[in-house]
Amino acid sequence: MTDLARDLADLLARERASALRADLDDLEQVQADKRALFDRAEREGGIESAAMQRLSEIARANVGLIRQLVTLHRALAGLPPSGYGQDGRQQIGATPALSRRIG
Amino acid sequence: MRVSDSMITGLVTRGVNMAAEDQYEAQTVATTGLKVQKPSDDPIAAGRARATTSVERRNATVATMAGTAEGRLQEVDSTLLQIGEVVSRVRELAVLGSNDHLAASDRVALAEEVSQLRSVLLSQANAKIEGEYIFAGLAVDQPAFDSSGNFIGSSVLRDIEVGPGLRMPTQIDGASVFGAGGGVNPFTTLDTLEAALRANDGDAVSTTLDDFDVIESQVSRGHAETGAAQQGMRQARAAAERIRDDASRRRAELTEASPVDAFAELMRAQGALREALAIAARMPPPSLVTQGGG
Amino acid sequence: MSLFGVLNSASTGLHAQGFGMSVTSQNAQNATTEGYTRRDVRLAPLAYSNMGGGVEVRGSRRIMDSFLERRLIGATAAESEGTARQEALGVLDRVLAEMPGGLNASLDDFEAALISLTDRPASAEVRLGVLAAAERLSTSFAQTARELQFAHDDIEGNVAVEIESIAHDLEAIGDLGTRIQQAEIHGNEASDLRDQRTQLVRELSEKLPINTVESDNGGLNVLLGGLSLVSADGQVAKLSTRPDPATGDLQIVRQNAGLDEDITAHVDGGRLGGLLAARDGALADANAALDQLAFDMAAAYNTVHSAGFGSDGVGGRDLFSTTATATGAAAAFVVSTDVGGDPDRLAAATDAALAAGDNRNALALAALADDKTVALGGTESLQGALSRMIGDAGQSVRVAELDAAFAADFADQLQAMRDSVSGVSVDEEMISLSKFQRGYSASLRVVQTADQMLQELINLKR
Repeated sequence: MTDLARDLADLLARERASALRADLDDLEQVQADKRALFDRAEREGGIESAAMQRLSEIARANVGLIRQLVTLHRALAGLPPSGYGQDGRQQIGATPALSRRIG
Repeated sequence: MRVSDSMITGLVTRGVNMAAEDQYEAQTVATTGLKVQKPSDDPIAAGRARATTSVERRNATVATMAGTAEGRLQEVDSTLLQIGEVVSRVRELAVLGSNDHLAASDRVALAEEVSQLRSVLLSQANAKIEGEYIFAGLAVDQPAFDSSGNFIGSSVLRDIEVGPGLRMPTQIDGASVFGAGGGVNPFTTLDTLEAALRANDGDAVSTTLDDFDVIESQVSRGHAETGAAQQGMRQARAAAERIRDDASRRRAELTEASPVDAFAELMRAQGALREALAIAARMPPPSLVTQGGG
Repeated sequence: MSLFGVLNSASTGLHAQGFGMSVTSQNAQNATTEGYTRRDVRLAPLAYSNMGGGVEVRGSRRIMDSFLERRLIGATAAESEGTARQEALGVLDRVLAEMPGGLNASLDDFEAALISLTDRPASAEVRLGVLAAAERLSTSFAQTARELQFAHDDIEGNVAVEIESIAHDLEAIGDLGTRIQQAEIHGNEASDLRDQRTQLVRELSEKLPINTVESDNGGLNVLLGGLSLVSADGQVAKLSTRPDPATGDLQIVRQNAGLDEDITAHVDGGRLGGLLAARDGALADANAALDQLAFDMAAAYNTVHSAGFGSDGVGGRDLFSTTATATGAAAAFVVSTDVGGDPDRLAAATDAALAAGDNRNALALAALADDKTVALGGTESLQGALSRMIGDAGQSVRVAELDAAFAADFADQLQAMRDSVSGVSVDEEMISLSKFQRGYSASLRVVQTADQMLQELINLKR
C-alpha cells in the first residue's frame, strides 16, 4: 500500500473512532484533514484502485455512523424527525435558532 | 451539592412556616403575658406553679379567716368591757350599801338596781356574735350560763389552723371570767348582795366587797386573753399574707413573661417572618425558562 | 450486514422518531412535580459484527440514590409519628392547664371552703359553700375523665381510618409492582410507574414504619419489621383491626395463613404508631393518674368525714362516693348520697354533743390538704399528686413536640439531599437541551461534508 493509501486509511480509522465517541470537534478536523489529503492525492496522481475499493467501503460506513449521530442529536434536542417534502425530496429538519440565553 | 428547584422551594417554604410559627407563639406570649400557658410549655414550671398556686390560695383564705376572727375577738373584748362596767357599777352599789347610815328603803332601791344589773350581766354572759354564744366554748348554740349563773357551756375552746400544724384559739375561756376554776362567780356574788340589801344587812353587804377584786381581776384576765388571741390572729394574718405573696411571686416568676422581653421577642419574630415572606415572594428563582420566555 | 445496510439503519436501537418528547424536555416540565425523579439519557455502545460499535440511546434512567430514599422513608415515618403523637396528646395540655372551672381551680376552691368551715362550722352559708365546692370538684373530675375518654375514642376512630387507607396503599403498590414488571419484561420503560410507586411508598411511610427491598425484576417487597405487607410477586397482606379482649382497645391484625395475627407491637412509627403510642402511653398514664387521684381523695376525705358528726349529731357518713377500685374512679366521683344536698350533714364536729360549734373534724378535713401520706401510695399529698400528674403530662406532650421537630428537621435535610440528587434543575436541563441542539447542527454539518468527501474519494481512483 502506498503512503497515501496508508495515510487515508489512518484518517478513516480516526474518523470512525471519533464517530463512535460522538466527538464532533475531531470529526470536523478530520474532514479538513481529508481535504488536505485529497489535494495531495490529486497532485500525486491518485490512489490505486485495489486500495481504493477497500477505503471507499470504510468511508461509506463512516458516513453512516455520522448519520446516526445526526439522528441521535435530533431526537435528544426534541426536534421533529426528517421526512419527505411535497417535492418528493428528503427533508432534514432544520436547526432552530437557539432561543434561550444561557447564564 | 447540586441545587435543584425543589430544594429551593422546599427551603423557602420551610423558612416561612417556621417564621410564622415563631411569630404566633411570640404574639400569644405578649398578649397573655404568660410564658407558661399550658403544661407542655414548661412541664417542670407548670408542676411547680400548681403547687405554689395551691399554697397561695390556701394562705389567702387563712389570712381572710384570721382577719374575721380578729374582728370577732374585738367584739368579745367590747363585751368584756361592758361586763367590766357592770361589775364596776355593782361594786359601787355594794360600797354604798355597806354604809351604816343607809336606810332600809335605800338598801331596797339598791337591791332593785343590783337585780336589774344581774339581768344585764346574764345577757352579757350569754352574748352572741353572728348567732354564736361567745362564752360557751364549742357549745355555741346554747347559752353559756343558766339563769342561776351556772356555766353550762363547753370547756373546749375553738381553734383555727393558721399554719401547718399551728393552731390558735378564736374563743376565750368564758367560764374563767365568771369564776370557774376556783374563782368567784359574779352571779353568786350579786345574788348574795341583793339578798343582803333586801335584808338590810350591812355587814353581809360588806363581806361581798372582797369578791369584787377577784371578779375584776377575772375580767382583766379575760381582757388579756382576748388581747393575746387578737394579737395571735394579727400575726397569723400577716404571716399568711406573706406566704401568699411569696407564693404569688414565685408563680409569676414561673409562668409570667417579662413584658419587655415578650415585646422584644415579638418584634424579632415579626421581622423574621417579613424577611422569610420577602424571600418567598422572589420565588421561583430567576432561571433560563422565565428569562427566555419558556 | 452490508455497508449500505448499515448506512440505512438510521434509527438503530433508538426508536428516535417514536421517542416523542425528549428526555430533557420532560425533565424541564416536571421540575416542580412532587416525587418526580430526574431522568438521564443512557447511552450504550452498539455492537456490530464486522464494523465495530456504534452508539445507541438505551432510553432514560431515573437518577436517584436508593440509600437516601430508604433513609428518607425512615425519617418520614419518625416525623409523622411525632406529629401524630403530639396532636393526640394535646388534650392533656387542655385539661390540665390552670383555668377557671378546671380541675386545679376546683381543688383549690374545695380546700378553701373547708378552711372557712373550720372558723364558722355553724354557719349555714359556709356549709352550703362547702357543698357547692364539693359538687364542683365532682363535676371537674367527671369532665376531665370525659375529655380523656373523648380523646381516646378519637384515636380509635383515627386508627380505623388509617388502617383502611393503608390497605388501599398496599393494594396499589402491589398492583404497580405487577405493571412495572410486565412493562420492563417487554423492554418498555416504566419510569413513570416507578415514580408513582416511590411516591406511594413515601405516603405509606408516613402512616407505618415500613422498609422496602426491591427485587431484580422490578418487584418491591414492603416490610413492617420483619413482616411482609407486599411481596415482590404482588401478594398483599390483609390488614384490619379488632378489639383487644382484655382492654377493648383496637389492635392491628394481619391475616396470616387464615389466622389473625396481632402485629400492634410492630407499629412503632408513622402516624399509626404515633396514635397508638399516645393512646397506650401518656393518655393511659394520665387516665390512670386521674383515677388514682380521685380514688385517693375519696378515700382520704371519707375516712376523716365518717369519723365526725354533722350538726344533726349523726356520724358515719361518707363525703364522696366512687368506684371500689381506682379504675374509673374519676368518672364516678360524686358527692355521697350520705350527705345528699343537706349542709347539716357535713361532719365538722368530733363530739356529737357539741355538733353545733365543734370544728375539730373540720380542722382534720382541712389538714388533709397538707397531708403527704394520702396519695401516690402514701408518699404525696393530693395537690402533690396533681402537680406530679401535670408535670408528667406536660413532659409527654413536650417530648412529642421535640421528637416531631427533630424528625422534621432530619427529614428536611434528607429531602434536600434527595432533591439535590433526584430533583430537577431547570437551568441544567436547558443547558443540556442547547448542548444537544448544537450537537445536532454540528453533526449535520459533518455528515454533509463527509458525504461530499465520499464522492470526491471515489473520483480519486486511478
